[in-house]
Amino acid sequence: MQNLQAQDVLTSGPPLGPPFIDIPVPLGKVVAEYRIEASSAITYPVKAGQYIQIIDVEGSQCSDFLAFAGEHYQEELDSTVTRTLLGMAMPQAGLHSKYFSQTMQPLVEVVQDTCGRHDSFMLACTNKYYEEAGYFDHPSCSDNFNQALAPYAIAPRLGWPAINFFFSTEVDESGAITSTEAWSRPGDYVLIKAYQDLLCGSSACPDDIDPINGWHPTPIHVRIYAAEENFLSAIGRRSAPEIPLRLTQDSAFTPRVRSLTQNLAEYNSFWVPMSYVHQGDQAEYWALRERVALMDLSALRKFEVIGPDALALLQWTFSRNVAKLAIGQSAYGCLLNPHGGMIDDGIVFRLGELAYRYVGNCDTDELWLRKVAKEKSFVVTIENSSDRIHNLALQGPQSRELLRSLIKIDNEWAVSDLNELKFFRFDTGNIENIPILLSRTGYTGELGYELFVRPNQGARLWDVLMREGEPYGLLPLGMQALDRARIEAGLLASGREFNDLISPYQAGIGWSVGLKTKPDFVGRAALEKLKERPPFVGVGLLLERTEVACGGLCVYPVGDRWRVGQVTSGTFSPVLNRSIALAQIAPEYAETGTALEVAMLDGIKRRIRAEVGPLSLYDPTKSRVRA
Amino acid sequence: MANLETTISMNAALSASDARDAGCIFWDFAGVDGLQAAIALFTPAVSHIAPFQSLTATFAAQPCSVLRLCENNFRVAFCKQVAFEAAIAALNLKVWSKPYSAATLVVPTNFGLERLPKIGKTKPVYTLEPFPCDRAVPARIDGVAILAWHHLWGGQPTLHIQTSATNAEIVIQAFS
Repeated sequence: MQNLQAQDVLTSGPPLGPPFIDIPVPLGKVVAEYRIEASSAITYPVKAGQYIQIIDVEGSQCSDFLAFAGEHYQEELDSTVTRTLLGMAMPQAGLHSKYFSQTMQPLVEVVQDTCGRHDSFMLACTNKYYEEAGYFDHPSCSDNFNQALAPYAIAPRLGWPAINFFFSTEVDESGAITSTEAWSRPGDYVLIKAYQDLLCGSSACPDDIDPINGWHPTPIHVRIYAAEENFLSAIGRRSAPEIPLRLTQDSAFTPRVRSLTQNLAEYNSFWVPMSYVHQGDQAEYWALRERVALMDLSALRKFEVIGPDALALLQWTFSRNVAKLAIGQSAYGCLLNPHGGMIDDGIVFRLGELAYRYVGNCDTDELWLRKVAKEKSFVVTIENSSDRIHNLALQGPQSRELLRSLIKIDNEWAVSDLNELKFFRFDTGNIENIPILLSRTGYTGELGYELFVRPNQGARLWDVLMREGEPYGLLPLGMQALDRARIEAGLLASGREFNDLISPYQAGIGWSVGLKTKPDFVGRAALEKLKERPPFVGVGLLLERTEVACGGLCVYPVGDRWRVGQVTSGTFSPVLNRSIALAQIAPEYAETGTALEVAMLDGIKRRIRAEVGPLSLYDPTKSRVRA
Repeated sequence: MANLETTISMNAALSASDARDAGCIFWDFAGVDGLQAAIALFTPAVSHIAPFQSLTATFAAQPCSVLRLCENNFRVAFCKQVAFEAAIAALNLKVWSKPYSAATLVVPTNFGLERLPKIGKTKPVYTLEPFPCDRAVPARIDGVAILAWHHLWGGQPTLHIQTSATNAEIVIQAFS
């Protein structure tokens, strides 16, 4: 590329002066940095391999981005090509992270993103936009880019197709593209890696006539980092104002997983495998159903609930009656809110006389437990131990046989042989001197165990289980196969089968509510009424054909035009050789054997007959997990 | 049926003239009932394999190799002409079938497995190293899209490289 030599990169930006104190500290070695004043745009060169960090200094500020490659800057970012190649509206850190040019070559890759809300559908703002709103001679990003690009003989355009970082847009059901104030907070950033020598353009959007920049345009800061840096891929997630932004992390097992697959996705702030190379989810699924499979479930959150009132707190917040849990016993249920909605589902383990562990899905569970404890003046400590405990699940009919030869159970437990460890019981022990907590629980509908371990011992535990599992045909299992298995087994997924507006009765786990076994608890009054007639009931649907019914599809009585419920999750069940679904159906239509229709596509073109069944269509009596 | 099939010799100085017809015949079938058709025609074991995996089966008393391309998409390799279209039609399922007519190169297996990772590029979710038997890998060689299929053929591990007929020469040269 003309005019872009390595030395230029080192000297083209302003000299590196005193550090800026209004933005986060640099992520690595800065080779150039630029402050883009409000309502302006700049260009800057970047060499292949270098990183560009675009920082929203004050928050709620959009920054449009252009990149040109080639000797005559003839290659440029193409959002349509990018969307088509990725199958996603926007690239994001991880597997689907690259922005492509019109020749289908990658120009940049998103490495880190702490905002997660950007636009690639719209032009950088134009004069036309402002003029049609009655604002003449208003600066625009496109015009600012035209001026900044003029020295490079890049022809001006009325509107530049750009990556509009921090620009919050959404396509609604009518097809309209709506925009709102940027979701970015002060210091939020996008870190992208250059794949070619590039001329880049960045703006600090001047739009002050609508909310997208919070009505007040502010500066943007750009840092360029050396190609020698090796920044880890991460997506920033926020779960509550009180909880710091959380970047996607590896578990203790992820390095081992990465040696077997690059097909990882972000799940609950962890990188998790979707499937393994040369295996695929079908092979992993069958290993689970017929032999034994190993999966990393470290994304679960663990909370230590300890103290004289630990039991009282759990009795008040958790749906199950856990008063009679023996040490070494656990129970599945959910955390409830006052209107009977499910905050989270999880398992309470009784570890000691006054010590319990709650294993769930959300960082915010800790906040809820603390809040309730404070309101009730309970004497109890709640500590998030997720970073100290990672966990594998070893599941499948041969899991016990495999573990029996490996596990040495600690002497203090009544159980000395794995055969005696019953469903929802746990003990501690070691595998090749690796201390573990071994729990007979799982999320697959098969006989299986979960192994909790210190992260610094995790890789070794993985190695032992993979090595010793080989004669049993063990395969590591990814999330795609796990999703098939859990839908077959009628096991709930947060955000699909339940949320904080859905009661346990609607989700299909009304059996986990201790209305008869404990006097009072959060949500009891609401649940007493909901139990009589929940608006919907969780069921399984066995479809007559093999076409998969996606979550959200509507369910109708045979031949009628009004809905009785909707699908929450669907999959093809290999073991049943049928399409199956979890659905929430009005109670009048939820009896097993009832014939219904799932409306596919637009709801009119095609309906598939389905029969209502138990939530767990595979092994409804749970004989396999209890075996 | 157009069935371009060539064999590349292990000689380092290769050319298209080294190619010879190896006599494979390929059929594709797909549709909403693609998996059900595969189960009916071959064996329920096809539901155990994932996309880009294959198995050896029999059809009309002849051995064949069945490659799963997607959830409901399959490619079958036969050693001679068979009445496959009629067999599909007889199932009365929602499936189309047609002969696969692009180029297939037969590369000496050991040579090809060693050479492929050096000349082929894959997306991150695939790999050519290792490349076990009964697996297929979509890749690019010099920008040309290929599907490399390592499977048992006539009881022997075989490496088929499938590509557009117009690009076959580029692929042959890359192996040379």
